[in-house]
Amino acid sequence: MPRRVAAGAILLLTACGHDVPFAPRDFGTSGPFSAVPPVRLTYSDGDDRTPAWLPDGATVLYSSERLDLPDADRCLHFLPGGGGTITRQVCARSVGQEDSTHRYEAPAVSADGRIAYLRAVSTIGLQKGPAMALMLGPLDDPTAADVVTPIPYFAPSGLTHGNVSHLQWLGPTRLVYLGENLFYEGSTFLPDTFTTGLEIMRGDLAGGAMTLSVVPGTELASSVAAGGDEDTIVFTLGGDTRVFRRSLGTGEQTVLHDFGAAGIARDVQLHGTTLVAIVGGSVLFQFEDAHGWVQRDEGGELHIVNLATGAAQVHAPAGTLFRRPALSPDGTRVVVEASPFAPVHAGPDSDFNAPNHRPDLWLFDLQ
Amino acid sequence: MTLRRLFVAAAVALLASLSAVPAAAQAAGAIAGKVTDVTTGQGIEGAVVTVNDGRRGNVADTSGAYRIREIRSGTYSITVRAIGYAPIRRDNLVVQAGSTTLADFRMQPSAVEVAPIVVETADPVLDPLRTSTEQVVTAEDLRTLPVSSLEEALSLSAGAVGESYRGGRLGQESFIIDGLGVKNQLDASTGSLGIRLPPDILTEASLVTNGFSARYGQALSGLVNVVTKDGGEEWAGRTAWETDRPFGAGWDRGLDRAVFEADGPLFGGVRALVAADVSARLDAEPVSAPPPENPLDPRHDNPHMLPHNAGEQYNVAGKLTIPFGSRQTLRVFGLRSIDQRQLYDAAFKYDPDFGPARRTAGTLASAHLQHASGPTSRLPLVADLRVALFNRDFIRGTLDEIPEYEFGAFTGSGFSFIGEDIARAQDTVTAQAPIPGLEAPLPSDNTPWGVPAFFLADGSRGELAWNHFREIRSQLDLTFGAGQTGDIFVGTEIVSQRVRTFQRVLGYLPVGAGDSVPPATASEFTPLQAAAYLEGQFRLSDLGITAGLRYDRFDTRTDLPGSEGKAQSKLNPRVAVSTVLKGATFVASIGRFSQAPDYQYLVDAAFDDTTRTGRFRQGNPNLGFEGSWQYEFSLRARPRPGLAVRVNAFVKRLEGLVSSVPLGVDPDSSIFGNADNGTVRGGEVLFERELRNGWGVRASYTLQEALATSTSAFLLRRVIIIDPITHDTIIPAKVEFPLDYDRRHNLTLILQGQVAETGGPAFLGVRPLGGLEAALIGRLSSGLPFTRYRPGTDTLVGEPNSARLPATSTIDMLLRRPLSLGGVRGSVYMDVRNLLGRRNIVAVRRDSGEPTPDDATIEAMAQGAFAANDERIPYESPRYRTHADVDGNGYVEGLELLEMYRAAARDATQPIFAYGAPRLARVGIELLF
Repeated sequence: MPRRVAAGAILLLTACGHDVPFAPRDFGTSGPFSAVPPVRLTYSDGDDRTPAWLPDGATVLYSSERLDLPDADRCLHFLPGGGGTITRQVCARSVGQEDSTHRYEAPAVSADGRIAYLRAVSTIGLQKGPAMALMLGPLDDPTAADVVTPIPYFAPSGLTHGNVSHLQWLGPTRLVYLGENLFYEGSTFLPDTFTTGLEIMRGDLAGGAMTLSVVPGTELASSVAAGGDEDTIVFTLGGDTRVFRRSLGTGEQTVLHDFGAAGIARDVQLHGTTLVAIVGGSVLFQFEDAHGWVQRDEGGELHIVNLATGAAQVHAPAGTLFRRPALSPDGTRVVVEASPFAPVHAGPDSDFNAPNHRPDLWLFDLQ
Repeated sequence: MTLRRLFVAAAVALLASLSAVPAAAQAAGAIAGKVTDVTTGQGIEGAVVTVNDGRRGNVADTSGAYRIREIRSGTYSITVRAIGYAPIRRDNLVVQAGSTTLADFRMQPSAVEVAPIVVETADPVLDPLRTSTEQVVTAEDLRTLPVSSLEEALSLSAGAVGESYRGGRLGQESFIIDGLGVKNQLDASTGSLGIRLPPDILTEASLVTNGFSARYGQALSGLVNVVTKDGGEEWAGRTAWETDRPFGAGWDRGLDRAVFEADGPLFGGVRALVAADVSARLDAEPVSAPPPENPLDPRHDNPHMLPHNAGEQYNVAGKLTIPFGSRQTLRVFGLRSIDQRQLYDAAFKYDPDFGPARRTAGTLASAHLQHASGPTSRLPLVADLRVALFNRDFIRGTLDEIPEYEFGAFTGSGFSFIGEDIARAQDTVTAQAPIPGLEAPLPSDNTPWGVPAFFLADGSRGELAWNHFREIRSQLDLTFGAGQTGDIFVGTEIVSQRVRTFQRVLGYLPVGAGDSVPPATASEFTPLQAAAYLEGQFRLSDLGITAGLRYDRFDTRTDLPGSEGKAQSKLNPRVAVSTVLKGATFVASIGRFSQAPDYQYLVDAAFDDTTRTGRFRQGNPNLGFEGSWQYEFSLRARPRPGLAVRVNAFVKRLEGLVSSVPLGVDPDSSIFGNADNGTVRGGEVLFERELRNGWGVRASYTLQEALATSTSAFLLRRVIIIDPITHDTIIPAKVEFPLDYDRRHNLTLILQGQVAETGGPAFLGVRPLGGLEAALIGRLSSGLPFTRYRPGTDTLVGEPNSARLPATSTIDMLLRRPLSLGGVRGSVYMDVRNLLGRRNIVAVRRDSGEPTPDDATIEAMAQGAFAANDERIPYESPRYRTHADVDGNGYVEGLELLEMYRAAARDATQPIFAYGAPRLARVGIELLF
């Protein structure tokens, strides 16, 4: 009996739980700072560039310039698609990386959890001649990615690609991107850079290695995007108002849409019958003695076209230019770089090094 | 007793100071007395006095005197037989370690056994052969007082400040477990012993603070003498469970504790004992720091427990007592302790998983073979051969992963540390590179303030420290009888030791990075210690004399680059003289004590703690013994039966304590040396009223002053200075400062009460207060010293340790209600520490002299952090705080930002550990079987 009493008392005591120590509160925000359309997602003083959606359609991944870090790295930030607090940051913070500026840009995430992105490393404060590479690795730890190819590299076409952009997964084993030329101009010490498209590249994964090849017929391309299946891309060409669709398998190429008088089309995106592109604005396609054919682009209007009905939305708020729209996987939302208007520069100029545009990301709901 | 005897005693003590010191702190005591004829009063020569089963005993001499030596402390039955006399049996004779229990017997000239006759037993308080100043803790004390461990019980002793005794530094004490010396020789001054005895295994323990027996060394300030139980003649035991779960509301600190003990016979006279004490606490170091005023601080609403501060202890012991033949006994003892703790670090308040942790594990395995001559032996001899293995393993660093709690704070698994394999392999080559798994800490994003300052996340501090100490000790002690009034003790010991250490700081960086990452340090050496002693203890009428000489030697058997280690040796004489005055015993003692320095000071040390005055300290394999001379006069009196008073006055001269001395001209370089000297002097008054008629009192008051030329081994002591202008060599004045544990006044009061089984009011036939036991411990202590610095500088304000903390006081209480149901005895109890919830200040900031910094310091911290990073915080940043964006523009900027830096600075400087323990309560259930 007493043993039972004691056992009962002990059971009663152990049934009481202990108090728990204090824990930090979650101070994160959900939703945008202002829900009034167009919704502004980011407010940072640095550049917020090259947005892309994760396959789940809930998170936007983009490159953010971290002016609060001594080396001003550009990190990959993960942001709720509807706005709010960044949920994850991928920065180069390992030992020995604090003496350089690391840029992670142009991310693209595959459905099976791989991330491809551009990595550029330069001495802090010097923008010229960064060590660049196209990277491929796990989304769980992008910093553990492997180099697909150092940049610059010689493409099979014989051209030298000094930059890559518009990375897009067509499927689990196929990646396309735009090979570009990279130029420095302006001040020797504080040069500005501009890039211009050369040709579209495809990368095919086999046994963990990626084989790179040129997509024929895409010389002077200015953007590329997935065309709806693993075999199809949509792209634009420098100085051209049209959007092309091309089958990688057959080489068949058609005009998907022509923006005509609206201006030069670029930064194309496609989901089903929804076509998104940057059109017109502060852009110039010309031949320059120093650079050949180039397309200088400060941004333009955001055009959203329903290819089935021909209905179009045009977003051109005064004083604002858009670049690099990213269409969500379900085709209902667009995140795009938005920056103050800046005139396009016609050519090399010692005063070219204009104030940085400091783009932020905006969200457009298409529904 | 006369003045002449007193003079003789003093003279002997004085003479002894020229040669030697005394005392007796032992695992065993003695029984002595006279056997006489009840009718004639004459001594009965040849009377055989035996203990318990007759294996131990003695034959009375021509005067009837007998003496039975080396009896382990405990309770015994004595039987006296003589031809022509009725045998006499005396039960429940208590023997205490280091004490001679006097029992005289008067025998009836008859052949018929008669009932036990108790003729006379001597008062241990007045025992003139008890020359040591001992404060005894019995197993009953541990059960009936509001203490949970031997260490807590010993801290009630006069002259004890935590585990510092009589003003000494930590580590100036030694543990004696059943006569066997155990000491963490590697870092006793900064680390724990590594083993803890389950309290239920104890028979008694005592703290000896004056000259202890020449049998023991390795200590300057105190000897903790522990006697463990042997298995009993019948199986019996105790189990208890205690917790603070039911209390909640700030009284619940996540405690769960279970103790178990069982002992009894196995076979063939072999007896066994097993004991365990396991405990865990979610907040292993509770403090009573006030809650912060800012409601955004998570401690504001939940100030009681700290995260990442959990700890658990596992202590398991076992013992076999094996009789061999008629005269030998073998005791085999094993003890294993594991203490693992997460350590709260305020910098990781909001990301506690990156906080540090530590684990200390200790193992003691010993065998003790005792031979005792038979009761009729003409040359009484007790020989004790002890062999022991002691291991202590310590690691501190970053946890591989935060363990899951299985029950309360019990994880049921050992902590795993990042880089532990590198540390254990002492791989300093691999450790040149960053330790795999360690990440650099970054400013935390999780604070309520958002600003990137003061709080860290994503990585730890990168500390990895490991050491392993092992010793194999062989000890032979011989006790010879020198008539019925004296004993000769002689013995020797050899201790083979092995030390391995590894230390790496900023382990997430490669060695040399930024010129601020020192190389990993590692060492391995195998010191050898040896000792021999000779001691005699005699009683001449009312005069007791103990005189001994101990020889100590240690050899580190290691050379460091440019410095060759040499063996060191020391002779330590000790003498005590005592005599009985009218109703009192006076003891004078003097002795020299030596201990080898902590071996941690023999090896290089790298620090990432600039408060320790240097980043790198060179080890010195040529350190010598630390030593002391101690003089004490003690008076013990029993003014009335049941009352005892003791008064002690002592002076202790400390010599050659380890401190840091400059090495070359580099202000950051120093070397350990025997450069510190000091003096401790004081007096103690102890009063005891035994628990009689339902109540008892023990009180002690200590007045002491402890000064030295350096206050700790890490404080730089400049023995010479080169004048920068004249280049003259200047020897700075040898000024003594208070030692860190220089507590000037301490008063401890212990009240015990007991209600009779039939006492108290009755309700429905039940007396709820019947048998209730209560104990109260009150402590009032003056403050410890500390050193003031001018804010923002390393310039001292005044002399080192010239400022004082405020006084502290606590009242602890234990209520126990025995229960007896269905033949099973037990009790329920409630133990409350710091009953009044007094908020004691135990530390202060060195700049402000208060627990908190002043406003100027906060402002300077905030402005400095703001200047370092004044980037505004945008809405999408994890650092953005809606409450900080006062103007609601999507940015925390400008003054908004500065205000957050101020709040963060106030948060980071919260004086968490400046306050002592809060009110702690627990309830327990105990079963005896």
